[in-house]
Amino acid sequence: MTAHPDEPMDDIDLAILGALRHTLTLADPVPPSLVDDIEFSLSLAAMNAEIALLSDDLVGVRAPTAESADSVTFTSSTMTLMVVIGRDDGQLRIDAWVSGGGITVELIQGADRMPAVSDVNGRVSWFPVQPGLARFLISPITSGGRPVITPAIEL
Amino acid sequence: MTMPDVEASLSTRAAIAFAEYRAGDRQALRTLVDAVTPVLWHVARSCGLSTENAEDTVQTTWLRLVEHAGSITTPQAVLGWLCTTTKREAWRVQRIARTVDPIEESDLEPDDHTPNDPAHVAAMNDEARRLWEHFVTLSPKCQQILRVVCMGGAPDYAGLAEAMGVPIGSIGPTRGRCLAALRSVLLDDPDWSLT
Repeated sequence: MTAHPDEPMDDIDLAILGALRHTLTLADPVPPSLVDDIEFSLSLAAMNAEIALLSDDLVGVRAPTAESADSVTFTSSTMTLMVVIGRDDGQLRIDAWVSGGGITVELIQGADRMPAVSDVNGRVSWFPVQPGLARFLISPITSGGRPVITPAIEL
Repeated sequence: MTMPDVEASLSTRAAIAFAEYRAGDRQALRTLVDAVTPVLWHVARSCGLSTENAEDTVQTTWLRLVEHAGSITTPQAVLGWLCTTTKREAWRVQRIARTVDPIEESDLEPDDHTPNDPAHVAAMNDEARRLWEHFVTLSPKCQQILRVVCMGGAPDYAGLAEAMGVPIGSIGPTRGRCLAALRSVLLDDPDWSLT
């Protein structure tokens, strides 16, 4: 049965395209995290954030076993953030030190954003923390300064 | 024969969201990203990019939109602009990936159309699997066009086809060569039927 290219589209054509669309969403689905990732990069672009460097040569920091701790340090042009990953009662605990007190640091996991303010020693903590990819967003230290975002690490 | 779900025109929804974004509504950008990202995903994948490169390419496209929002003359043009930008970015990534001298667009044929995740294939019912088997027998260019066109609603077919380089007046209002080819093989298959 030959279909002619120059004929107007009919209900069968529309149904075929609809079925193809359905098939493609199964065969080659959009990755579930893509829209969130796009939103995140757009929000970074909107706030003109500086991306911190991972100082330690660790890519994909793994959660340590009980009673041990692992640390990673990020640096930017204006600040340093040291992150210590530990366990407390079998759950993940994150302690971090930033260069100064009164600085807002957000722990970001997917769409979840958990802000905390550093104490006089520059310390911020989060507990309990879910395993998975996480980033830290540090608010500008000076007025007119740029926020700093870290690369994602795996907790 | 049941009609497929035909949504309100994607290009119109995109135009409204883009106009609202340009008027200062940041949330409208999220609406635009939600609505158009599936189309851009298939634009990038239809250019032969791996899933990882396609993700990067689609992200880059959205960043370019924010950079160049002021240069898009009419909101109605935003869907075509996004598709074209994704396609160009995909070619750029392909050129880097192939580490060869710049090559003609016609040399860039999709090469990554087969679902490689068994879970994806297993998730298909028989009708979808048969449709897929026929679809991948089409020419790479036709696969590319149909893949993108079908992601819109009926009012979007012509605009999406144009963004993929098909002359105006081919797919929508007429069937066009690629859809005619797919229709012919499907209707010749006694085991395939529209449900």
